[in-house]
This record gives sequence, structure tokens and C-alpha cells, in this order.
Amino acid sequence: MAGLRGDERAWVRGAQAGSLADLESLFREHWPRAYRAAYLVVHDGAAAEDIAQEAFLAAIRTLDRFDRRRPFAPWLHRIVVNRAIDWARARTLRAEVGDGSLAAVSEPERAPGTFSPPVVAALAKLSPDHRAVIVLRHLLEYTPGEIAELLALPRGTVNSRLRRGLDELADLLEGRR
Amino acid sequence: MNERKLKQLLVATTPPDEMGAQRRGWRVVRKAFGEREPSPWPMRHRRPLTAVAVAVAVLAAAVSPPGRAVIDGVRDAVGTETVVGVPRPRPALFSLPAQGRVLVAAPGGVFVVSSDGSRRRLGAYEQATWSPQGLFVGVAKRHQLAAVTPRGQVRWTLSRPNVWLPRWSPSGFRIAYLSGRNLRIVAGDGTGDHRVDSAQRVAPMWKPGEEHVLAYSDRNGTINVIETDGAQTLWTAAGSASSPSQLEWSSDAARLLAVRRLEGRRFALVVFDGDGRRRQYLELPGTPIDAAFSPNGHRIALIRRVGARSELLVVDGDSLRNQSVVFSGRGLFSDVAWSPGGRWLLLGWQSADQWLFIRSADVSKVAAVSSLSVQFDPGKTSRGGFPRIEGWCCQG
Repeated sequence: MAGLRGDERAWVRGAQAGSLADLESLFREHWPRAYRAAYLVVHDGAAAEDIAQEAFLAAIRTLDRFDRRRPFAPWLHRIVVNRAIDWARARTLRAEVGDGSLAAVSEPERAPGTFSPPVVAALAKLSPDHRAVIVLRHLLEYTPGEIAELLALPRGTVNSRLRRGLDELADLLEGRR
Repeated sequence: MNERKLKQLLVATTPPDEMGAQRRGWRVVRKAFGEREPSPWPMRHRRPLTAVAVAVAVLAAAVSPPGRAVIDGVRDAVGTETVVGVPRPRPALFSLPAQGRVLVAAPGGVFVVSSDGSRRRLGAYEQATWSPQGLFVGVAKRHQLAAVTPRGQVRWTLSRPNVWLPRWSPSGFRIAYLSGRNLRIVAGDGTGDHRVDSAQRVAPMWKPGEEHVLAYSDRNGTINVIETDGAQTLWTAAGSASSPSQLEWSSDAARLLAVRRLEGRRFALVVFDGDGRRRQYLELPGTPIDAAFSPNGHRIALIRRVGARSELLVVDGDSLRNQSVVFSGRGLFSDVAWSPGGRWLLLGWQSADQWLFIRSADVSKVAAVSSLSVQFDPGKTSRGGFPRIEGWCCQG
């Protein structure tokens, strides 16, 4: 991990100086988890791709001001997860207002033949807020304190969302809902 | 399920087309990185540098008479110039350099300017849109939408709250407009008015062609492209193009440009093809003011403000490369319009109270007209508000 942190600092420094190779190293290191995290919150491949791209573009925009002493991943994940929550909330809102044509196009995409594991399908039934904390905790491995900081929430709120989200997930997977 | 198992399942989840997404993502990121303008060291540290400079100047002024000279020097460096504009402009609009008529919205009302320079006031309206052949003008004022002839004869009126940004469809059969936060559509004869969706205050734009396809920014800032007669959403775009400040179709309907303001006085140009695939993305410094596709091809005339200056650029809408600064000056450029044949650009220079007619192929040809505010506010001798260019229509 220390090695990675050292590499990461060098990549950030290089990218700040204009090195495309260093930017590519950063991108290859962080894209897969950023895209996956976005996908698990929004459950829409195209939207997740757009969100992950946006997060990297935002990172490039503010690269000059980035403090190299801090890790890159939380910075990126903060953007990814917050945008994913916004997107998922907006989609929920559209479905609620009952606009048939808009709701229809905002249905999650599913490529033919794509298998959705039960846990992913169950996750999709949770609220965006619950999905986000579960993804941050169990995919990206942040502590509740770090999640609270990333989402600008009180730590107690993070803990309760985690608890409720996991309970609901368990109920869904065991067919109690 | 225990938490370890949950983690394993989440990590094992494969999002759709993972490798393709990464490949596309890298292409976009690499391009944006290549086109960014890295801040030089003084820019990155401009806040502390400015603070130090100000502190030194204030201290010098406070402790010694020569300090006043320092402050004068700082003021000169910041700039106190107020005289802006092209020297020796024509004192009035005697004629247009190309065919067609220009639609203008000024504090004194909406006007049609003919090619011989004559102006006809259509009434006390605030905004206007040409019908496709220029046979009618859709006009709006506070709680009213109306269709009038270019001679000012009212054909129909419709009362709706807070009418904004009317846009007449290329077919001539529909007008889209905003009423408060609602996007509405009415037929060209004033019938069948109905609400379509909630929308942000961005002008809705009809896709060129006979079909009634409209692009607009909904209340969440998502770009929606809909076929309005069948209420079918054709595609949507958010993310990098969300909450655009302006939408523009190319005349061949093959490109949709979204202009989006970003933090830190930057903005993005996002170009989609007609089916909603994002083709290009470019970030630029400055504040975007106005953009317009040329009537032939995919060139984009773009106004941006950078610091105390404004620039008119022409950008290749297919690649977003080859950005050439056509004209630059102090103060604010307000709007830009292409002549119907695409040979001239009409640039509003609000701070200079001038219009500039610029040959798009030969930038050295610039014809300036001054005192625009007074010309579009008849009866007033003092300078009024600067007129807004609503469109230059039509070939023929």
C-alpha cells in the first residue's frame, strides 16, 4: 500500500507537470473501481460510464490545485458517489412524477445476455442513499468515519444507513420482501 | 450473508462492457488532458501573490508619499481605460452587408431591420423569434406570446404566465416557449397550447427538419431530445453536458452543441451527433456568452469573456480544434449571429455600443456601426439599453 501511495504521488506530480503517461497510470489504477462503484449505485451502464468520465474530467480540471500529500482515491470517489446519488435520485424523482415517456427512457439498460447477480438486483431495490453507503463500505472499503466525510454526513447517519441498508438487503436476498 | 461474502460479490460484479467503457473513458480523459491549459506557476499562486502585492501597496501608501505613486502604478496596471470600440464607426445603421433582415429586441421593443438599414418597430415586446421563412415573428412580453407579421400586424395572442424564449420550429407549425419553469408548445396558428415538461431557463431548440424534434434542458439539467408530436423521448444526456447554458443545432441537424459553465471561470463545449452520441468535449477558460452554428457546415461562432476582455472565436464543430480568435476587445460582447449565407458575422459589442459586421472568411473586413442604443430607442436622446440580436433571416 505504501508502494502504491508512493507511486500515486509520483503519478499525480507527473500529471500536474503534464505527463500523459502518469495520468494514464492514475487512470488505469482508479477507473475500474470508480466505474464499478458508479454502476452499483445507478445500475445503468451508460450513466455509470458518464459519471466516471465526469469524475476524471473534474479531477483534471482541478489537478493543479490538488494536494499531493493526500490520497487520490477518496477525492475521486467523493465525486463519483455524490454524482451517482444525484443521478439515481433524479431518476427516482422522474418515475414518481409519472411521466411515462421519461420514465421509460430512464429504465436501467441491460445488455442482452447480461446476468445480474441476485445481490446486484437486490441492491438496485434499495434507495440511492443506502446503495451509496454500502458501496463505499463494502466495495471501496472506507470506514464509516471516512464515508461520513466523503458524503458530508454525520457519522451516526452513515451508521444507521449502513445498518438499515444491510438489513433490507438481507431481507430481499432471503425473499422476505 | 456476512459482510465478507457481500464484499466478494460486489467486487465480482462486472458492469456492462467494462473494457469498452474504460477504453472510451481513457479516450475522453486523454483528450481533455491534452487540451487543458496548464496554469503557469504565477497563476497557480495568484491569490497569495495578489495578497502580498496589495499588502505592499497599502503599506507603501500609508508610510510614504512615494507610496501614492505605487498605488497609481497598480491602478494603471489594472486598467482604467473606458474608451472601447472600433475607431471611426459609421454613425448609424445605413445598410446590412448581406441579404436578409435582422430581428432585434431592445428596451424600446422588438424591431425588424431590413437590408437597406430601415427599422420597423413591431411593438413593445421583449423577445422574438423568426418563423422559418421570415413570414412571421413570434414575440413575447411578460405574460403574453403573440405572432405578428414583419409589418407589425398581430395575428394571434396567447396569455400565459412569464413567457420566455419563444422558438419557432423549422416546419413553421410549432412554437416552443417557456412559461415560468414549464416548457410549452403551441401550434403556429396559436391553437393546441400544452405543457411538455418542467425546464430550466435555457432556450429550447428545434432540430432542423420537418419533424418536430426539440432539445431542451429539463429541471434537473438533463438535456432531453424529444419528438414532440408523439411525446417520445429520443435521447437524453446528462453528466458532462448537464445544466447547459445554451443549446444549438447545426443547420444539417447532425450536431447538437451544449455549452456548459464550469467552476473557476471555465466552460465546456459538448458536441453530440444527431443520435445523442457525444462526439467532442472541450474545456476552455472564460465565461461563455453566446454561440451559433454557421448556416452552412459545422463552424461555431463563440463569444467568451476572459477577464476584462471578450473574444469572438470560430471553432470547427466536428473536432473542436482550430479555434481561431476572429475579434477581441475590451468589455462585453453580447451576442453573435451569422448572416443567412454564412459570409458575415454580426457581433454585438455592448461596452462599445457598437455592432460589428465581420467577414467570416476575411477577418480584416470589419464594418462597425455605433450608437446602437439610441437607434433602437427612438425618441430618447440619452443612451438606453443595448439591443439584443434575435436572428438574421432569411436567404433570398
